[in-house]
Amino acid sequence: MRPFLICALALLASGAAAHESHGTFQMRGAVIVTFEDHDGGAAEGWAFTVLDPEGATWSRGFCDARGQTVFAPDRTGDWKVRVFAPDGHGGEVMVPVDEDLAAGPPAPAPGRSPWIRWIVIAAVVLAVIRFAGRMRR
Amino acid sequence: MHIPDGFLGPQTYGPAYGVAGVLWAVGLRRLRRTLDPAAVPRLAVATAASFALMLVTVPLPGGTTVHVTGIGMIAVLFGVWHGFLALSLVYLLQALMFGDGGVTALPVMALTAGLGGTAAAVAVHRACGRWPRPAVFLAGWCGTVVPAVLVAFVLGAQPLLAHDAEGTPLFFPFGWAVTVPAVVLPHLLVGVADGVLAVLAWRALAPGEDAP
Repeated sequence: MRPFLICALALLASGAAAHESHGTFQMRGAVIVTFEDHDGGAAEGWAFTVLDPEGATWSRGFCDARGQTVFAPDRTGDWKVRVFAPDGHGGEVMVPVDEDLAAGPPAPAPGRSPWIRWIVIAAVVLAVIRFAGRMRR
Repeated sequence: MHIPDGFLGPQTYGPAYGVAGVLWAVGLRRLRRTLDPAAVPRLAVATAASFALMLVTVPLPGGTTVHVTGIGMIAVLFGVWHGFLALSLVYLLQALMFGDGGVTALPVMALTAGLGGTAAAVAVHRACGRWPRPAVFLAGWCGTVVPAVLVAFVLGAQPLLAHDAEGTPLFFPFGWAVTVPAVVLPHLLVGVADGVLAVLAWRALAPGEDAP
């Protein structure tokens, strides 16, 4: 299963401020990850788990109407966001975070090369056709 | 129906590895004893075809994807044990080569699809043996739908099997009320394609007098 998540990731500007009634806090270095389903639609309602660089669960929840989740890493390392679709699809994306708590571009899990997949499919189809031809003879 | 790593808790995949390991050993013994050398090329081709078919995903409205499995085809042509081993190999290769499905989920996929799917397909094929072509079609359909039902139950059981002290699921978080319709309904449709595939493969590859 591909994490069909074209993960758009945005780093909210450092120092971006959010306000609420009893005071002000700063949301520094928050990371927003957007997940999409195979149709390119928002992965609304999909569950997610954020794992810190040590692999411990950092936060959990459900993607919002735009298929987004947000978390604020507090240390450098490779963070992971695992997403669960109700039909059992899903996947994982890695978010590298540097010393300034700035997130780099997300990287899907390794081992997913579409062109190798199609080469293998073509090779198998050709082999099956050849075998069927031999059986006929 | 490829469960990624991180979706199942060790409470599920630990025992599943134990059960599947025993069954893989039994299956290999049976394979050595009962495999007809003349059937090896056909088994190899059917396994390769299943491998390739599962790689071709078809998007459905609603954002999900499905794929034909070839489980019923293998079951009808080669039986439960050979099908179990062949499909276990398919899921292993797909996990290692393409990341389709996780290594932790491998025994669950082998047991639900490789064993459950082939057993259901063979049972239906035998039960409806008087009408060969419909029997093969139904076997193909069941070979897809039964594993989908089993996978939906395994996924939906995760919140009950693996949760923290507050009851928060540690792995796959959706229960049966969500997983059963989400997983099973699309496969009712895919099963039709798998049924047609099983009939075509049976006509082309089945040995002996059954095949037309």
